[in-house]
Amino acid sequence: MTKYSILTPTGLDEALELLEKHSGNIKPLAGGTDLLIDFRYGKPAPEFLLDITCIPELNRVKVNGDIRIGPATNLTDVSQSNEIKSWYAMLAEGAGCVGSYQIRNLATIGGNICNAVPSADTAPPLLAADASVKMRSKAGERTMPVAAFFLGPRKNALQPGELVTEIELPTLKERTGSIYKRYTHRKALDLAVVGVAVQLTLTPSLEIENVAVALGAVAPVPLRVEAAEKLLVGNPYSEELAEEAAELAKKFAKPISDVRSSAEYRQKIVRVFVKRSIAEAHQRAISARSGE
Amino acid sequence: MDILKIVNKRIPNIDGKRVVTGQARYTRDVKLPGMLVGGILRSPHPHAEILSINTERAKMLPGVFAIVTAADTPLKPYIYLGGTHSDRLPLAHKRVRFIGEEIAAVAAVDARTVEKALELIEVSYKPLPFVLDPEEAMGPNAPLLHENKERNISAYGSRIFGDPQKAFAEAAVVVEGSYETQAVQHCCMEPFTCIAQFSTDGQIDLWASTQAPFYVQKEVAHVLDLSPNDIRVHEVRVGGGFGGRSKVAELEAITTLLAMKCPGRPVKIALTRKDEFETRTVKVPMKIKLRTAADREGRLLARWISIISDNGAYNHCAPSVSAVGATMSYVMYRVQNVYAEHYTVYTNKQTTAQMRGYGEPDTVFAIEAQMDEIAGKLGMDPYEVRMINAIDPDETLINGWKITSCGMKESLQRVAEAIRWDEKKRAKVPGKGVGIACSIHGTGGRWYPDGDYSSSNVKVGHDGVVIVETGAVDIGQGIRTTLAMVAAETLGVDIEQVRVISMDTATTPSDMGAFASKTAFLGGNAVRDASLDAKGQITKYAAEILQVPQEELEIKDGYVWISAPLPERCAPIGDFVLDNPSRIGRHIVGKAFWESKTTENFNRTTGYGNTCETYAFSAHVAEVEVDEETGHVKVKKIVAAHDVGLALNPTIVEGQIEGSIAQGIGFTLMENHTWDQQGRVEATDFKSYRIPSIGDVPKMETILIEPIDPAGPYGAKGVGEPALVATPAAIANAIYDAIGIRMTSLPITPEKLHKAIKQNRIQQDTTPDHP
Repeated sequence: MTKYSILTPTGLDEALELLEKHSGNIKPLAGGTDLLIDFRYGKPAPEFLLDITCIPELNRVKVNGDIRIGPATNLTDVSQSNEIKSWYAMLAEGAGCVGSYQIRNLATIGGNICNAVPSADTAPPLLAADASVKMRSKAGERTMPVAAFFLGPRKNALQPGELVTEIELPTLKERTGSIYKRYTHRKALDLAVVGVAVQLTLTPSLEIENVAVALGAVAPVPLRVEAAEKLLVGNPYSEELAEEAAELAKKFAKPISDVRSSAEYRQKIVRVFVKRSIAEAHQRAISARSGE
Repeated sequence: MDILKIVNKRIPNIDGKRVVTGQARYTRDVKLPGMLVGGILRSPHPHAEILSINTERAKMLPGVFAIVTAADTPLKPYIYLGGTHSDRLPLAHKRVRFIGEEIAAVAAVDARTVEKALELIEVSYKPLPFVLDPEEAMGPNAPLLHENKERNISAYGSRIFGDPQKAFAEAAVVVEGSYETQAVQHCCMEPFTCIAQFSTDGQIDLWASTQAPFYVQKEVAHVLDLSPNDIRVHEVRVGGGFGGRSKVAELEAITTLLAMKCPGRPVKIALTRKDEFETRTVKVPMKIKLRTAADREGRLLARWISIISDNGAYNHCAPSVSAVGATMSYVMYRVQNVYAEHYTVYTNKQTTAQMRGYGEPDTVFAIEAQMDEIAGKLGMDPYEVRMINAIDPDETLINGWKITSCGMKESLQRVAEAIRWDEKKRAKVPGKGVGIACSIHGTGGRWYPDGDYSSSNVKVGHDGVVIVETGAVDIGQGIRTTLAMVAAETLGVDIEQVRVISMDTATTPSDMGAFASKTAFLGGNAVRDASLDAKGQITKYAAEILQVPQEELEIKDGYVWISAPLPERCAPIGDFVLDNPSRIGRHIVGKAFWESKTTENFNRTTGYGNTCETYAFSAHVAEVEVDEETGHVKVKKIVAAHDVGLALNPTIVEGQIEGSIAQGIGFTLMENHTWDQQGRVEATDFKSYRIPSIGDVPKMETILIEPIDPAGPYGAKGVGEPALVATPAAIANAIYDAIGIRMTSLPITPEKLHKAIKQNRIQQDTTPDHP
């Protein structure tokens, strides 16, 4: 059995202190739903784990025009936050479909992005939302778009001594709708074969003013399909247009074949799910209440 | 029949509280002083000669207590009761035939030492060519796995009834097809665990997650040259079976062997889920060729079936699973002309064996596909074709099976009503469909010579507590509750008065084990008879004490009653157990050995004979919705009607049926145990081997058809396996109804169905006369 000590800082400064002190020998621990399983399967553990869930400021959703999510917020809280549900339905949906109830009660949004597996369910929604990631170390603070945060499977942009301190979602315009749809072989407790997030804003005359199409599980990192977005912007929604955008997404996706699915089938699913997601996001944008 | 007070009622499981609060003791919970950890060295090759095994370095490692190899065994193959089929040693000797085969075992102070010791054992191999596909294995160039087994055929059987050739020639309609089913894991909640303890007086104590402790006792004795009664298999809770814990496995023998090397130090071997997936038995995969003929009215005329079963590297029960699978072609529906054959073929993979349904879900998948095709060709409704050919009560089938009670037609009627079959067939919605399928399954049976019995003791204490001793095993199916109910009902006591002691080979009377859907039937009959015996003894004493004729005494609510002239309550039954208050330990002991009376030993050559005392029937309908763009099948609803005889406990019976439906959905749509081209198991955990989650299991409606069976305890039949048989066929038929595509191989994964939909479109587009 692997042995390690768990450190429980009470504030962010103390946490950063510890990170620096034990640099190279410490890892942040949030829900542990990925980390501890890695250890159980024989991956070497560091000497120290830094439990960030006991730092109050990292553990909540703050709403003040924009939405700021602490990385240690668990996925149940993310999926049930009223603000996230009404402004970023796709993120609530992404967070709400990870694992099972028990897992979501432990797993955190910060852990989901820092672990950076291609199939992470909160990644496409954050990408489509143009979210940014705030990071801090003893040396200072920096912020980067979430798209730059993912470097590859299980690789993120954090430097040693750095901790994700906030995930920021911008304020949205009215007539915006979003959705996260994922394809899995079974309904729950499964990894996405393909994950699609679409966020779409309409003009008062119902043309597509702004749209984001993001894909998970089809490349080493989650991707935005800019070609599809460009095609959609400025046009009113139509089924044909969505089909065309979906076809572009399919061509853009570079999935691999594995035990779960062949690459070819994944591409087909991308097409079907992008088409459906655009349609549903559009529906939601139409029925969205005007922003107060 | 008198009004039942306990049997046929929804009595809560008597062990329920213990199990859900973690107080029930499974093998893994057994902790013995000085217990050592056992581990196994397994073959990395699918097929190789073992040139040498050197354990010297491992033996020197501090903390290692014992190392065993084939050299420590008398080299007697197990599955002793399989007779000539026995071909496997508990530890490989000179040759390994699949990746994961057991070569050596170590007992040491802790898991880390075991691991190190296993690394220090030096084995040199000469790899041999291997074969993974059974059809290839039958070919001329395939490497042979076993001596004297030409073309790698372990077992072959064929049957002919009537004149199939003539019947096919004269038929109005003939359909034929090839079908394929996959290997499936049993997925017991508790991974296999065994503990063995050897004492210097020669006695061996075993704790094992097994479905059949009396088999384990016999087999371990056989392979290690011991006397069966030197081995005692103790009572534990068993966390699931489904056929994967049936009869004996190599591990009980290996653990015992290790324990014998270190007297007084118990040894525990606990498999991980990965070990289970990679090395234990899986369901027999089958390649089935089937042909069916019918007349213009849809009456079946003839069947022809040929099965090639993948046996894996050694025999377990696959040869008889194949035979039972083939039998379905002529017993599910009335048919007079049959040719059936089955091959069970060795490949360099882990052993395949029985799983809930025993080959029936596989062949029924093919048979029921063809029932629908016949209906289609004749312009008939699938329901109608089934009703025409369904079995009736008191009918003798072509193979000599004597049907007594039979609710097959009623099952069909009830599921059709429940799903509103006619309405759904008339108002077709594209992408949505309904499918129907049936099953027949023998309860128990003389599949082994004279192996259709159970026995029980029922003791009554002076405090009125009734102790039921049974060799039966509760593997989660609730048999302890069911048997307690039978005892309480028969004796006339409350269920709270009854305790059950089960599966202890030293103290409980013999029982074959929890397989063949027979425990409630055989065990129930034995417990009923033993309870009647105890009751007779109590009323006899009471008659002497009360000075009334015995016939006028009754037991009700735990009291002895005088029935005439007016019912009068006398005293609690315990009062009549204790003839002298100073003899505090006295019990009344009722005994029974119950054996089926009308059955004949299974004839492996002819397949003829009434093997089972009774047969259970079912019909399932599935309603599905197919996403044609992704190939995803959503099962919307399953209605299952089962002729279970009298349901001893309807809640338990429904639990069996609902669990089977869930398992059946996994088998049909998701589960696939596969090997890569090197013979390595691909999915070794539940992340990649998917079984249904609660979200994948639809609304289930169970309908119990309860004809009183003449031979069953209170009229009951077995339900454990029948419940799984019809589900895959019903779902596959519903998919056809939804989108017009006939899937002939399992599992029907979205990817596979998607491919079939695409191919179908291409075909339609290129067919010139397509409307």
